[in-house]
Amino acid sequence: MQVGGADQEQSILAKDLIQYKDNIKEAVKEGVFFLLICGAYQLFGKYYKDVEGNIIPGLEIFDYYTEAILDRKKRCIGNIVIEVSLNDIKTKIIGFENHGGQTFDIDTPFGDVLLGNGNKFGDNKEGFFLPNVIATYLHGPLLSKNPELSDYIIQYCLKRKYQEEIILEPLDDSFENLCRKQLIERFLKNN
Amino acid sequence: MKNFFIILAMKIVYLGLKILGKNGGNLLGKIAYDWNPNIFRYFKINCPIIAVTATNGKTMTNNAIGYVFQEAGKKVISNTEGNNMETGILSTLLKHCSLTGKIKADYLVFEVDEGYVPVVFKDLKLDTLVILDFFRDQLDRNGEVESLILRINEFLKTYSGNLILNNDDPNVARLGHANPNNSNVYYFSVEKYEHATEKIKEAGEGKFCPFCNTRIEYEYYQYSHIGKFHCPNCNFGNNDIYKIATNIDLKNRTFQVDGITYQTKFNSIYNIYNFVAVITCASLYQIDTQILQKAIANFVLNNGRLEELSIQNIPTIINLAKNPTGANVSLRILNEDDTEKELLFVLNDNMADGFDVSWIWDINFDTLNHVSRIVTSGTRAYDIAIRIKTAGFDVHKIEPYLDLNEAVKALYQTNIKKYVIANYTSLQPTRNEILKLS
Ligand SMILES: [Zn+2]
Repeated sequence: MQVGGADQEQSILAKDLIQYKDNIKEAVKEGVFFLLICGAYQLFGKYYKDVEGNIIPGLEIFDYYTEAILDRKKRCIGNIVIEVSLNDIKTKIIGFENHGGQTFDIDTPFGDVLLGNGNKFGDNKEGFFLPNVIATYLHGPLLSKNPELSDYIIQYCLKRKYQEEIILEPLDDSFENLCRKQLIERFLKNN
Repeated sequence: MKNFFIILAMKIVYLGLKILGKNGGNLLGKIAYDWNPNIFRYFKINCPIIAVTATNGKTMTNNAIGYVFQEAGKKVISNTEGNNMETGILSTLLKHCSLTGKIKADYLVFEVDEGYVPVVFKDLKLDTLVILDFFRDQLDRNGEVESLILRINEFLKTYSGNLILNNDDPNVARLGHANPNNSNVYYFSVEKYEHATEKIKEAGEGKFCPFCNTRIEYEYYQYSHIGKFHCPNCNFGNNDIYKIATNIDLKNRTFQVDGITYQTKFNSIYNIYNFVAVITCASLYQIDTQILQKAIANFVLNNGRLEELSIQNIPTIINLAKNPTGANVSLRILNEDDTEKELLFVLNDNMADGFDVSWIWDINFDTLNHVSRIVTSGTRAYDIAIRIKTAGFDVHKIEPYLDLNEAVKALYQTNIKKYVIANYTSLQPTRNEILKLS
């Protein structure tokens, strides 16, 4: 048998991480910030059930679980826009989703879907959220597309480290803002 | 009888297309294939079929092989326009066959999409298969490249024709083991060139041996994951090399194989690999070395693939980049040129490009050599501008324009040498906009 490529690396990673399960759980409890995207999002849940019905155990940090869509050709693929609330300020997050997994049992989603699928085919909720955990199917890449989200994460981490509210010095986000304006207009035009 | 009528019908459609001045792309093949997916069996072909497959470099290598054979006086039928799926190849056959399915040629040379090799050659007898490279990028979340390598591996298990493999790509070299009884496996390689590195320079996949899961070791990387490698555990990669290019001189655009110097019109390491594949193939069919030398010296691709133009006396180099490896190869050429230059990068996200543009984050924009300004355009002009800004390039020297016409005008405001990189659907519009200025 030959193994190789993305799956090979993913399983090497998962096997390695599972030894540190308790440390990761502890870190989450202590408020260390976690940004989990796609495979990592799924890995932090209870399990992943693949197309053949095999259960691949997760790190069991959170209670959600993921099941593959039975039709192999069907995937949630495309541009996606969600609305999230960061420190009580509503903002739109843009990205690209590409996943076959359908994630269930989320009580605290990251955002409301304005365009795209989200946690499941045709879902209206996307991702999983705690103040120190953002788990999502959005890449695009996420941070360069969404400066408010980057600022939220940086601010959270600085506050945790220095135990005080820190105001970030503004950076030149003019390209990022032009990009967001263009894409949000384009994506939501037909909605 | 049915196939006879299919071919007759397609000949009539083809005639109609010709009268309308249309080429038809893969239309004929599409109709015929829908009618009878087994129609490949009907063709009577008495000459060798050569096929080229890869992630990158198919069109160039395919066209160069066809060109070399033609220059050697052979009649070649080839899908030079790049219609490389089963319907495209079928179209080419339908255009050139007689009503009874006979094809008169000395060689059929086909560029074949990586996914379609097993489909097309289920019923067509393949004489030589050339495999150049398989690249995976971050868009390949579903492991599609790995599964297509496995499908080709499966096909090769019962294949005993010539197999020409790039020994410097582990994804390709592994296929030489698919059929241990095939004695017609020929590996080619390229000697370490001036800009080869000890560490991988462009984003690459973690590489594990497909046979024993050990981490593969590299002596050097030529570009991306292409380089001299071997598995320290099972020795995978240590093959006898049939043809190796040596004395790579990109400045003078020369290299040697078997002590013979080849002059080319190309200046990238990536093209040297394509040419060694061409030379390997020509050698298997006893093409005269002098003819080969001359053909390689004259071979050009005038379709925006490493095309060199002079626009208002400003040297301009245009290259297609539909994936990170393509873009990285273009940037390598740019970085190996010490003169001052400006870059135009055009990025679209239409259906044929793929809607996901996050592959641009696999492009290495670090330490650009003497680039004084970058103009970006396309439907994702801002995305690519942000990518370049993030790499540390001075934001005040980046100019994004959603409008391509404005972008090209802005680019030619100065007399500085231009490099142009455009992705799939943006290439021809960009080329046309630039040619308007000449
Ligand atoms: Zn090995």
